[in-house]
Amino acid sequence: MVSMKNPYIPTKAIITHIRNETPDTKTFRIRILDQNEFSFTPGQFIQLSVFGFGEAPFSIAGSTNEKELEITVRRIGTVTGALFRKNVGDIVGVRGPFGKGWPIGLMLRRNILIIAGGLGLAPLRSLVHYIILNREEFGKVYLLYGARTPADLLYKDEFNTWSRYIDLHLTVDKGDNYWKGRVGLVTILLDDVSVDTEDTIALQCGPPIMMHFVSKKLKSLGFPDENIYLSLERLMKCGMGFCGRCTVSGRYVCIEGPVFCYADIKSFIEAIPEAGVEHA
Amino acid sequence: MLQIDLAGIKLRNFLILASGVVGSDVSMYLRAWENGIGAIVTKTFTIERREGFTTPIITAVRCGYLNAVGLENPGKEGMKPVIEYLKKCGIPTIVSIAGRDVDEFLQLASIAYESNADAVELNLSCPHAKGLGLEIGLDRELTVRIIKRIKDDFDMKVFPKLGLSSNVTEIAKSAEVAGADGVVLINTIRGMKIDIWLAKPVLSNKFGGLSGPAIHPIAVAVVYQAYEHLNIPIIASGGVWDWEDVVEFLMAGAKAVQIGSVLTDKGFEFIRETIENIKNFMNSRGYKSVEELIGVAHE
Repeated sequence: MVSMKNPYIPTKAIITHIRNETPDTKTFRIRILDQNEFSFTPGQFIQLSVFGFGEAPFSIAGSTNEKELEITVRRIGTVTGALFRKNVGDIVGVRGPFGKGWPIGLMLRRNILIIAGGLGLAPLRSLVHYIILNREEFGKVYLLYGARTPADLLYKDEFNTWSRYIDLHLTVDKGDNYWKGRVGLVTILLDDVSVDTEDTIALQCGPPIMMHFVSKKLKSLGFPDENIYLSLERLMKCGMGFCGRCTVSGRYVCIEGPVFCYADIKSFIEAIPEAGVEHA
Repeated sequence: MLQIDLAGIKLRNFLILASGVVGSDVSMYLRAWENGIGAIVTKTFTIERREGFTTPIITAVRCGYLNAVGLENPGKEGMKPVIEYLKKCGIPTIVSIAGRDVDEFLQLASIAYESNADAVELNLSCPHAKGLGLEIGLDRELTVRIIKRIKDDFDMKVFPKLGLSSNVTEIAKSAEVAGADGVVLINTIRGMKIDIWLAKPVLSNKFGGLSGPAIHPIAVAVVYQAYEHLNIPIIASGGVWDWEDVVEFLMAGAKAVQIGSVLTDKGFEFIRETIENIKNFMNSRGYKSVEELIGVAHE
């Protein structure tokens, strides 16, 4: 008898907490029913189904040491719209975790440079929590995070805690009356830190155009291709390497990613058009 | 040893990437080529861009996959760059096309022809898209008209891909008479899975196409029977999961064999391993060329 990989069996799960992050973004905490724990590697994702509306992939944003999982979701379509109408106590479906996460083994005892843009902080939040829990296993850790406006910054109430363990730098594209920090794209924060390019692993997640410019800058700073890792988000339908909806540079994002080494997807990142983007 | 001449197209081996499974991104075709595939059949192109069906579009069943991707593709505008890129890389390129009528098939074939494709595969058998695929292919007269018109207008190889039906051999024979250069047998088979807890079909499209080990013996029988009635080459397709399945197809009478769903389960390395294993099999059994294997189960 042949058994198939990744069967379509969404496990029932219950929403236990909902937190507003920004006007269009919420963090949902979810407990898998009949399952005492949920284990994953930071950077992995789940397929979440809202029964009757469909299924979509979401990065796991919570901590590896918790029994429940967290996802941070922006309302953009059918599935996320339906999820936003759900309340604490409602049932959803979960498959996963899927994909390759951040290269923890490679990062141990090295310096870590994390660069995130907008919602791209979600898959990196579980990594930040992991680093804080195992702080002595890593060298210097920098987190450079940019969002459109101060209101769009995710996880604001955790920044004070994070700053006690890692070097946190923030920027926004457009400030407001209260914003006293940096204004500009996240690449400008690379000018504020001096990293040892030889012994630092750079990790990024954000809009494709951000990763294009950040990669360019990291290369100009002297980072070798094999020390740069990126988490890609692509429209995904099957999540099991069948439909080909999410492929880049000859690779399936769903089963071979979402975290890739820059060396493997360079052609895709380099080909992201710069047109229409003003850049310092 | 493994080279074949498929209706005049020279292939380094008889393994062909089936349409659909790796999507429409050329980088994935290139990866199959780098792993040793003999030719590529592109994902099916239609006149207009199609987004495909909403999720869930695939589910695993006990002995295969059930999918209803919905012929997602960039439309006729997307054909030329894909074909030209593959040809530039020296890859034998068979372009899968699906029209709603003779005229649409002719339009698509014309783009394939102008882009220097080696052949077109006529998708007359997708079991889940309304007004396309199987709905056309079960109409023998229409199938014949489509093939005749393409052969009349373009100097290009034409391979209709036919689905399972009670008279598939007769339709294949009619295709041959109409001028087809070969036939592809078979496509996925229409199926359904119901989630008993939700009391409704799992796939958003309700029906899907069954692929994988479940359909392999069915495809072998279709190929075996067709071989006894046809003079044009048969390209077998359906549920290859191991190198032995490929040999079965050859022995049943196929000149080339398409693989698809297995790549989801076993990865691109499957291509390389299969070729290696078949070479070893041929050496150990004293077969000097693929030709010696083709149809040998009939003698």
